[in-house]
Amino acid sequence: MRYVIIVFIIIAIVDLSPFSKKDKRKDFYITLMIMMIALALSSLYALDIKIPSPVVGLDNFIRNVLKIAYK
Amino acid sequence: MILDKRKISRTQFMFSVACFIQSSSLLTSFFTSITKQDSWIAVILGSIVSIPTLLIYSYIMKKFPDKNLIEINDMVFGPIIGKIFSIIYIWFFMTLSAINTKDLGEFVQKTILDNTPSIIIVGALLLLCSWTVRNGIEIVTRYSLLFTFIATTIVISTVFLTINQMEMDNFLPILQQPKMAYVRATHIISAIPFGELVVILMLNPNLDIEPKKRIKYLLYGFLIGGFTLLLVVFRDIAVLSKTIEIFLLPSYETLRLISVYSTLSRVEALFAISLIILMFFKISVLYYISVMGIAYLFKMKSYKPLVLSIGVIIIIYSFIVYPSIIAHMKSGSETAPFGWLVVESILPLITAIVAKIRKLPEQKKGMSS
Repeated sequence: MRYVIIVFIIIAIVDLSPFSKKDKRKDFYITLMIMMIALALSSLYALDIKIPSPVVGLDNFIRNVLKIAYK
Repeated sequence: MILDKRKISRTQFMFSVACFIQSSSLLTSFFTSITKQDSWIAVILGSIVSIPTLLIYSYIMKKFPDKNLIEINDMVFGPIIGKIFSIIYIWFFMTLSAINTKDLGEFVQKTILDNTPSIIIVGALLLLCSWTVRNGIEIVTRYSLLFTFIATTIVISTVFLTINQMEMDNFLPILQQPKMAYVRATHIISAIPFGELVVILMLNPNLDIEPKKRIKYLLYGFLIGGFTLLLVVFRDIAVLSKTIEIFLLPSYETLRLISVYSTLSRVEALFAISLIILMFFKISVLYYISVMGIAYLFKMKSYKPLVLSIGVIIIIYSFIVYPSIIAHMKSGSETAPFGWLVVESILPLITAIVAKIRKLPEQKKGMSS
């Protein structure tokens, strides 16, 4: 978890610092939103909390609901 | 609005397509486990089946020469349905990035750096890719010619080095598998290496090629990539015979068998070099496209602030995408071709049909399409 915080401090310095000079409010909020998603995912991974995979979900949908998977 | 104004030349585009297909030619086990010694037939059938999809891509590229897929979706379907289509494509590009990152990370860890945690390997790779992506598409595709040259040289030289291990009887019996096996393998080939070429629709506005000539370079690149894939499969079948079905990386096993008068052996390092180079290229392209997709979706003024954050998402996604390599193989050969088919062929087909019905793009006076 310590490393996650260090990495995100570096990312925030690199990616958010250019916004202080220019007036790009919308870009700033979008970047911040994507960064928060990345931080949330990394934190969950670092804390060993299982994150469901959308690809496994899609596989199950094709296999069990649509029933069109190859056997 | 173009976020990256740098252009890709004809050669760069052609070899990028070739390089993109070649990077998948190293991971042939999805279909070699199904059609065994007849896999070469499946490659030829898969190439033929993929041509209509490529024609759909070229139609879209010709009609919207200065727009990428996200902008085309907005134009053709309107802002709401267009955004839904775009989100599906972006999810697809990020999933491909994560799967390829996982493949490369696992390969490097299992064969070369077995005591290194995979986050270090994947993190170092994505950091390098992010550097490339921040510098734009021209940097991403600049070395495609060199990478294709290296990969093709390695494939051709290993064909000669394995000649003493090859048995032409290994191709027999021909066409003795169940019919469904050929259909399935053809579907997998047309969806997994060839169908992934849908990414070129995102590079469309950056191409420095006349719209009508884009199909020509796309097909040339496709032929180079397809021919390399065929050569790799031929070599592996001739050397490994029916045992090809049990290996996860048939090419790696083939190269391990190379021994020329006991002096030239351990050539599998060449496979590692080839895989790392080509996968670096493929991941960079997919990563770039994912970043551009999100930047265009939110109509941002620059894509650069997103690069590192999306890199982190791809790393974490690569760890969770499949619980094990068995699940990955099972998905690749059983379910993924159906899911991928929708994104790679059906959605572009719907886009092309709707654009045709709505007579898009509207032609300005005095301008020919």
